[in-house]
Amino acid sequence: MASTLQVNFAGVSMPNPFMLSSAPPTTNVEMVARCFEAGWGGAVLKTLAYTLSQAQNVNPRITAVRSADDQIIGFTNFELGSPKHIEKWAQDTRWLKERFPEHGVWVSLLHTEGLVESQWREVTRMFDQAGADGFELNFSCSHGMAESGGGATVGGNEEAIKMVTTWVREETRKPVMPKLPAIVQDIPGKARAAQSAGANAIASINTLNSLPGVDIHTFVPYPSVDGGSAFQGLSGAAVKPVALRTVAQIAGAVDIPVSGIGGIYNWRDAVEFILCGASSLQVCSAVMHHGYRIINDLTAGLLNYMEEMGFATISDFCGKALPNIHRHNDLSRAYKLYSSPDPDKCVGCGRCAAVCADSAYSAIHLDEDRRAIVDKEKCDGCGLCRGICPAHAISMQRK
Amino acid sequence: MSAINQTLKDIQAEARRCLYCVDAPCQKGCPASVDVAQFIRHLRYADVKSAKRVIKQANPLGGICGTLCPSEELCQKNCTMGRCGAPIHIRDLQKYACANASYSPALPQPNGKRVAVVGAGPAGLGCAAALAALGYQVEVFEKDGCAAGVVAREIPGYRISAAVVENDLAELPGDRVHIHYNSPVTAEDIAGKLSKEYDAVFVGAGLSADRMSGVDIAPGAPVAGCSRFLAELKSGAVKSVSGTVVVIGGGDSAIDAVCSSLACGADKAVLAYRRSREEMPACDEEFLSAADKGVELMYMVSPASIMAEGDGAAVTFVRNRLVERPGESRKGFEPVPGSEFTIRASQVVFAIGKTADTALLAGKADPNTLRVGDTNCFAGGDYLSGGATVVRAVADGKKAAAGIHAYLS
Repeated sequence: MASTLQVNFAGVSMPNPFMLSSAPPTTNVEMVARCFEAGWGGAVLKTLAYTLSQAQNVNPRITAVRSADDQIIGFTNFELGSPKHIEKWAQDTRWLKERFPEHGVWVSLLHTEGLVESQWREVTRMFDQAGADGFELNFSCSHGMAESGGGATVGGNEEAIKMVTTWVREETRKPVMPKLPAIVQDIPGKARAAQSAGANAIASINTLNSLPGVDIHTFVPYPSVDGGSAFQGLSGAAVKPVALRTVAQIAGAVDIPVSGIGGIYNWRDAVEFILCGASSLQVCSAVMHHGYRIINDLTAGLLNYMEEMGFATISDFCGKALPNIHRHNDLSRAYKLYSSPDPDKCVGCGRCAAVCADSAYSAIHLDEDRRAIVDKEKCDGCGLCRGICPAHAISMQRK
Repeated sequence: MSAINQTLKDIQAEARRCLYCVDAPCQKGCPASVDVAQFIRHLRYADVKSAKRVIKQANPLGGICGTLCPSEELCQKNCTMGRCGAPIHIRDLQKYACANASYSPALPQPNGKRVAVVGAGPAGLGCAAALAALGYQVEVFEKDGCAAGVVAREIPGYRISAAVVENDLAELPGDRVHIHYNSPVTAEDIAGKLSKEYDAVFVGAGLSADRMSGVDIAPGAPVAGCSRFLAELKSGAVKSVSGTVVVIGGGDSAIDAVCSSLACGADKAVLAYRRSREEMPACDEEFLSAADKGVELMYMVSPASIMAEGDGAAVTFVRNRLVERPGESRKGFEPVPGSEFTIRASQVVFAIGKTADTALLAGKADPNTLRVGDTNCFAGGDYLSGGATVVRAVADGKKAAAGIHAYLS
């Protein structure tokens, strides 16, 4: 069947649901123009700073977070809002929309010192006139902005969410999309607060406040800014499970569209976010890792998936995982499984036996041919062995 | 292939492929019982020093073995990754660890007992280091001016660098293991003063007489035994060779002889082996390196006679055919009547094994304790086995050390 990636997200039409998130990949409009040429559907510009004194960045400010085995699993940054005048951004936004009328251009508000209503309203009007397609409200920055009373400080407080959303709502008819943080109490409540104040969509998640590591010889956490450091926002593959959970919670709580963000690296990640209720997708870390060119991998893979599954549009499968998410207490206790290694796939390393002995039920041993043998009675079906098997040789069978 | 200039990142990447097998089959493949899985895990997380400690505690010649071990027939042969890709290149990991960290053995208080070791080759040093780790004072008597036996004396420099050998020797516990160089020992010395003055004696004297049997060799024909040939090239006593060198044999030493001949100026080096490539005992890696260097290979031939001809020799071979031997996996061979042919050689080298030049001990060693009869003498290494690898000799030395310790405890 012919499927299309074309979406209308909260009233903004885009050739595909993939947007660059408000982050280093959208530092200026020349970059955003290149990303559109490369095939991205939309972009959220770097969060605007009302006065440039609030956007003085440090060196260095981005750290690649590596696993014990040296794979990049995420990035941390403590980059601030854009160090460019808002007037210049307004001009640039106009230029961008004239060149790319088919693509979605969202601005991100607003890095101020404290919450100053007049500043939020003024900037909203300015970019409404400049032709921005929509307004993302950064209620979730976990570092610099949060320290000055914005960002995640707003996102953790339902009254503040409603107050600031209302300021913006009253100054524009264009879509307004608060971007909510993942680490707050009662995420559904925060999402409903945003909707009640007139939000047209919700974006989530933003980076998670974190410390990427410590230099074990100088004792300075990474990255060292002239001998000191600060807490930073973690993004990338490491945060994806948190992001999927948050997106699913928000999508289940409100009936406005959700823009999913957090560790989307490939088309499969994108499908998972859509299944959890996202109808647009924002990407930063994968672009920081590999560049804009990954858009072709994302769009081609997503389109193939949709054609194979018979989905004509994104909305055909948006949220399809949500009915399958239950309270843990409501899950079946009658469903009993045991581990079943496939002897043709088993390579005989016995890792399953080791972890079953040391972290589970001592139900697995190797036979004389070094094949994993499971004691069905002892096995309690926890699934650990299946997860760690390097040969993907273990499935779980009904007892 | 032995990788050159690997960085720690390369080593970590290789170590990362380890599956953490529950029973570490790699370790079972190591004659010296190095805890291979443990040192791989240390390297995975860049703890080179701990990796080296694990290796050297089990094998005092770990650096040498990190270069010379036929790992693809030992630890690597057992690696589970070999079933799903390529086995971990364990020898490269060992080589890296030994070359890139320091090690000094932890020793207990002296136990007041003294052991004499005859021969500072891999077996003798394996025994000496293991005894030192148990508190013994060890005096090693070495007939040559260098230690490490065939490794130092014969194995060509392109296969093992002097620095690697020196590093292993320097890391022996010097105040507990004294090596007396240029100190040959006779059977009478062993039976007499060594047995009396020391609590125990270990004989790991190696093999130094090349076997040259089964062929008519005319007087004056340029024929040498392999170990003498290699030792003379390595020491510089013979600076170069010329013409065609014919090496008879199919083991690693034979490969060393043909490769060294080419490296030292031979126009042509011919390896003549009595059976086929399949039966050849040389390890694949060495064989392939010889083939790469342009060695001429003659299979299924045995020398029948060697005549003197001018400065050189006329070597007459007879062709063989393979025959099945009931109950044996390795095929036998028999000559094909009338198939003789003759080639000219400037030098003929016999690499068909070695024997001990003198019998140092009367009686046989017990295979479990390596104790000889009811004496306080023990024996191991090539001297006992008739020629094997460095790591097996080290393992023998360790086994004897355990036997000595049990005997003296």
